[in-house]
Amino acid sequence: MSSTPPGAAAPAPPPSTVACTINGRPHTFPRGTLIVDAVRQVGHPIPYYCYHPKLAPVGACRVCMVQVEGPPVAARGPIVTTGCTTPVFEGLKIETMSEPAKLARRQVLQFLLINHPLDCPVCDKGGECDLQDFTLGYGPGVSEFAEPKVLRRKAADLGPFLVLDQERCIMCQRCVRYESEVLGEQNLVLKERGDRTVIDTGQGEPYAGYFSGNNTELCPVGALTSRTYRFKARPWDVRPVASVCQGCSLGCNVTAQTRAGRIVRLMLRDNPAVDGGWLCDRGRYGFGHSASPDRLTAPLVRRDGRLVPASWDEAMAAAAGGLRRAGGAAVLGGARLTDEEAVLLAELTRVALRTNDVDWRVGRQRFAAPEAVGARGAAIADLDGADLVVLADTCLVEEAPVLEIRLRRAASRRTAVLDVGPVRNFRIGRSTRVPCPPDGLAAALASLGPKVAAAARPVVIWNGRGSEDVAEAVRALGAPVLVPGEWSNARGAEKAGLVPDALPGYHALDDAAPVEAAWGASVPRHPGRDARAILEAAAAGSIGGLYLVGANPLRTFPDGGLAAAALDKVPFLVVQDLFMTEAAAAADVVLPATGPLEKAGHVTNLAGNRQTLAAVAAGPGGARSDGDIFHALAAACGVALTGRAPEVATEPVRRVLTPGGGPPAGPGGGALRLLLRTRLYAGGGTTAFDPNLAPLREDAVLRLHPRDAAAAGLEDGGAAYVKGGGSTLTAAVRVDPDVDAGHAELPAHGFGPTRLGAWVDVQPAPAEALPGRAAAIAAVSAR
Amino acid sequence: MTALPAEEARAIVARYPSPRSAILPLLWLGQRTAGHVTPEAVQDVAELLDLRVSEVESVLSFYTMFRRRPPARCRLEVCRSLACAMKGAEEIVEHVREATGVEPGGQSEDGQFSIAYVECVAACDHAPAYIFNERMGGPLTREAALALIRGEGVGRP
Repeated sequence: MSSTPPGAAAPAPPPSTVACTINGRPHTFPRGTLIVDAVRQVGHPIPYYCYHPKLAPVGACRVCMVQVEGPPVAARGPIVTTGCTTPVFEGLKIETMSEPAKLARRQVLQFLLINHPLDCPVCDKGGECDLQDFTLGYGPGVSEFAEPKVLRRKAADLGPFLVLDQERCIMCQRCVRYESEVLGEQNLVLKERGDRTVIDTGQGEPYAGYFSGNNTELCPVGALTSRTYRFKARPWDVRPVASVCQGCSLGCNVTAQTRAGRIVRLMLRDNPAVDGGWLCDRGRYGFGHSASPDRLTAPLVRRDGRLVPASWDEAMAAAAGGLRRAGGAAVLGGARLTDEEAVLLAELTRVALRTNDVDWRVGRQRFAAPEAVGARGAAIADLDGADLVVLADTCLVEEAPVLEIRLRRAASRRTAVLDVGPVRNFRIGRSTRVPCPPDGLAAALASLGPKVAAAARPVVIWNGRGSEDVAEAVRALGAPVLVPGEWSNARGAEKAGLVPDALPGYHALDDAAPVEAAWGASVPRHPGRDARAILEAAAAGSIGGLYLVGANPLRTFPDGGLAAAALDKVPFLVVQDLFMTEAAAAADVVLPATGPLEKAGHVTNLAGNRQTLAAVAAGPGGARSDGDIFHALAAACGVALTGRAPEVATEPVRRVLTPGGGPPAGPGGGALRLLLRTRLYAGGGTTAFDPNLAPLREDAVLRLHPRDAAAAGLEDGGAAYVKGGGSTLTAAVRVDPDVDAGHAELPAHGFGPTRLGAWVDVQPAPAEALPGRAAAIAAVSAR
Repeated sequence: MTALPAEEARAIVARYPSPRSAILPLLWLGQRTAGHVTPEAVQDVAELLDLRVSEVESVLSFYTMFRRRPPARCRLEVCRSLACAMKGAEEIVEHVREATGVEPGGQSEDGQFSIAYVECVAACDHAPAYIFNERMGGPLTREAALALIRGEGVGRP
């Protein structure tokens, strides 16, 4: 390099970059760039298997061979080396297509195929396989290897979703590294050595984590494949449609692939701002409900005590008539709708049914948007750079699983995690527990004020549960907040005004003018009743009709006894759902709706990202989208809906709500405080009806501290009776020190726990008392 | 912890600045305690070192000197590296296979003996060399091999 005269503008690149040539053309890269990245960036093809942009380099497969010449190996002349473990150097000459590089790659590929079965015609990966593609592009046409191949296990069972073909594996270790580097779980490891090396779980047990499916997309060959996709389709036979997962409120971006109108698989669609390019297994595999034979396919109307199929016109007339009878109607649900549908439901409620008795909160969540409690919203990516994250009794891995991956990554660097609550919520990675009883959350959060104030970039994660004082404590921390929802579009429902004390766009009831202008109709001004008050009124017989939209309070409302009494006493019940839920079975009119994979629109995720939902599959004939149903129901009431969403109020109203939806608090009843908590594979909704997820359902699993288990004579993997509130539930037992002593945890959306009251007693039950599925879970956890 | 002597195990862990370094010594302890490394011992090692069971399994399965099942009473390991192979090691093992039906790497059904190949045991001057119940010997003959696995001859010939 020539020296620059003093004072002249320095043309040399700054020292943080290096200049080198690739295939004879000069390029500049940031220092430390790996050759494989550099080559990819400038658009030259280069084969690789073990290298992956999201994993640390390992240099295992040796197929990304390039020729390099120059410092620091100048004395040796041109040499061939792996591009994934060598950074670019100043003055390096990189050749990707020189004869030595081509020969090296050809030989490596020949080596990788020595024991490969070459069973492409029956391999699910055929057509999208890097081993196929790179062998065609860079490999030899024929193998020199004439000896017998090593035979290994085909279709090895690695758990509910994964199938491993050991013969196809080329030991790139992407799966093993993903498990270790990204998840910190090591569910898959290398076993044995040399030509006997295989991928396996620890002691041959089924894969236990929530993120197994990502391995099938990381695997560059046909070794790790999805059970649900085996022999279902070829990549060139499927139609890809971009959409958004509605399994939880994170809204991971997916590409759904259909063949002949049926979904065959969901693939990740990397959105760094939302999902970081990962999916959880419930999201990836929970599409089975769409084509389930149990879907509702025609409207049902109760005649002579029985639900019988009816035409849509008959059903609409019956529903409209019943909901407008004396006593008035109330609406529950709506947090699984699209944003557009939620506005339609708000308009239907206010304009056609003439009431503010509407509430999406048929579970434990009270608030959806941070702004609604006067807090600042955080972006998802804020977790990456946060120095302090407060988990306010929120368990991400159960409530928004893919967000947990991001938090684990942050915590493995320099993010301190404060895990507040009666249960350890953050199990993998460094964290500090701040134990508190379920009703002590507000005080515990308040005690963290100084720590949060001292942090440079804190983030609070709170699932919007608890009464007004918890909301106030969260607001008082002053940090940006993420609110994982109990349902996928809780935020959209809140914003659309599916609450008793605010109109769409967070307009207060006495600020109805913008709403009335949008809809061209007047809206009722008196505040409505929230979910608890609606159910109480229904149980008291003072409500004429109840309209449940994608809601099943019998499972989700924290006071199951009240929900049951309400559904029992209400004179007229309309249920709009995908399946014959417990609530639908009690209804007078059942309206079959299409699911989240079967309708287009927009949805708002937990951080306020508005994302586009596409109609991937058709849904069963006879079912209609929720939006179409709202239009038809309004028309049957003599009202034409506009569907217009009023502008959002500039100053969102901070709503005061009737406190808590929880069961009655206070001692008495039992020895252990009941915790109702979200579990990924428990509960109603589509999970309860999805055949793909059926092996993993855990509706009735009791978790409790070893000391409480010992005191009650319960053993891990055994069965227990949980008694409280005059009700008894049979559950599989999991003894877990991560649950603080004095508590009994049950899945919130399972059937039964909400009837137990706040305090329960536990005692041993015979194993045969367990329902079949729970017994299977008990067997797994006992292993 | 049930499968490892607790005091000895903790002493081993204390020897290393990083807990992971104690995996191999603890697995040796497990093998000494039960004669082979039991699944319970693996779980104990994982718990003691705060590692995943899968990671300990991965390490364990990499090394051939750990036994995953109860050992035979007579354990004959025959070297087949260059010098021993040239002096007929493989013919001896083949002879044992024909006489007993037990494949190299296998164990007799009654648990009396096992026979396996090993790589160089650093006794080329005694080729074909062998290790019998953790003691080295050689040169091995067909007759000596059969006597050893019957339990009729122990120690250096």
